[in-house]
Amino acid sequence: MKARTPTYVIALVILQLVFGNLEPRLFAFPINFALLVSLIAVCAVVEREYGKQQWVKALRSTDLSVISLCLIAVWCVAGGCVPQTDAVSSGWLYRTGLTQFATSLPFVGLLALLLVQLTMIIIHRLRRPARQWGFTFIAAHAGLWLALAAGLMGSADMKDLRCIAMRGQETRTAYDKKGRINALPYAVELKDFRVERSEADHSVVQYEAAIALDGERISISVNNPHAATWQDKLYLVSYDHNAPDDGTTYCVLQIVRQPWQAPMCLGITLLLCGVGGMLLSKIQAKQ
Amino acid sequence: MTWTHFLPFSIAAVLLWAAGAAAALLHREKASRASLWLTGIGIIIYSVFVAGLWVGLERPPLRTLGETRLWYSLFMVVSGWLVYRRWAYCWMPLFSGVVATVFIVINLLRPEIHDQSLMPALQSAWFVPHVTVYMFSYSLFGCAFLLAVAGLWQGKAAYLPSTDALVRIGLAFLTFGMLSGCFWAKQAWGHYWSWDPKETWAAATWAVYLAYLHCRLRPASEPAAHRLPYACLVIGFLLLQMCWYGVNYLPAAAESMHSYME
Repeated sequence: MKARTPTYVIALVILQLVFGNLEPRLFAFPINFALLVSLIAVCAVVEREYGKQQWVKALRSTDLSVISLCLIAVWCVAGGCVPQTDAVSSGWLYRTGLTQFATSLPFVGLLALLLVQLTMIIIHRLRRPARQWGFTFIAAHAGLWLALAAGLMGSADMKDLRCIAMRGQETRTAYDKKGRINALPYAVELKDFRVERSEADHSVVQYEAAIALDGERISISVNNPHAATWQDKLYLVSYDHNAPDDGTTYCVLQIVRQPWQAPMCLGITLLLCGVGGMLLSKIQAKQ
Repeated sequence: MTWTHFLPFSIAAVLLWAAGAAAALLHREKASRASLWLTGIGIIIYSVFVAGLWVGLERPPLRTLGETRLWYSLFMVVSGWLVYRRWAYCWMPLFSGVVATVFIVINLLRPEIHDQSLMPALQSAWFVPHVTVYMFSYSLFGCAFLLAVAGLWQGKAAYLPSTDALVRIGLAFLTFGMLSGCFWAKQAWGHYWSWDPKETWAAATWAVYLAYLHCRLRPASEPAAHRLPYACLVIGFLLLQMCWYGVNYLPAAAESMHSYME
């Protein structure tokens, strides 16, 4: 498996040069969910039927973990050096996928490899008697699995919209990054707006909008979003800076629709618990 | 307390750290009590300045790059002190003190303008834990980096048990810093992770240190098997420098949502 990893990466790079970046919407629900369930099922069968074979052992080995983590780091460094843009281009840099590296085939392929590895590792551990599982091990690996799966698969279902809430006028219209209109299942209207400034240097320290959401009055400020539905959260991103502080006639809301936010949050929490547990177990072992 | 008081406090702290480093080098058999005391008093003096600055600014001094350098130099000496106390590497107070002093000198040569206000995006309960935990983890990785360089220079694996401990603790804090950033990002920007340039470099850093931990789980079958883990630590340290402030010099920084830190 170690020897096949370069082949896998080279194949991904070639596919990237030929086909370009991955389109996340291809994997919208229920395809992403079916893929995940299939992954777990296939890995469980492979572990049960071929678990003692060399190639399966290699798949869940620390060697391959080190290799895949290092390759992910390399691609992150490459992507981190290049300005990211949504623009489509015919330039060579665009064809390598580095200008949109998060959806580039090599990167998605490496994350998928990590996901497969994590699935195999977790299933292998869970096949042991319960007393051998190790809470911190399971929590850390399952947490990373959940966060990675929710992020990778959930990106297909995520929407990031902007809506201009006006005073005295309801709207149900929002726009995505490409300017496409999206209809909202609720109406928004700006009712009131407040800007708080520092006494020391008069700079803006906070601003808050009172919004009517289908007639119900809610408050949104920076770092204090409002959950409109189980998958929609409203964020306050901007307002009319040219208007007097309390006299803005509009504000800009960001609507993030993320159906997979709950599993992602759970994954992050589990990962935190696992890592915290590893730290505590180290301290206890020392004592 | 304001930044005008930084010079006398930092001179006093650095002199005490230098004295502590000298005492450590003179007593190589075990951790010198004189060194621990001298370095500790220097840490206290430096901490008094940080605490006073916090009160004077009426906000945590964590917003600008200069302010994070302040914390890093403090945590670097604290981490060096802890490593010296635990493993008695007589050169650790010197090297950690030098690293801290470098960042103090940078702050003196490049004074930042520290206004009193925090912009709306930074008005969050996650602000202090996210940044301070990151700085503390960076200081632990700084100590691990010094040990890795020593290990590569001397060609021996003797430092690996110490680096293992530092990386386990450092990675725990780094992970907490990263994941607290995820929760904060969701609250402020709408996404747990959006591959912002800073997040991209943070992911690379995290992956390398995670690779180090997994590397250490492998059986060391070759005589030079210590080189790969040490190399991970050196590369990881370089990546964290990029994540911390190097990213600001890249063209990609223009779109970074973390650019308010400057």
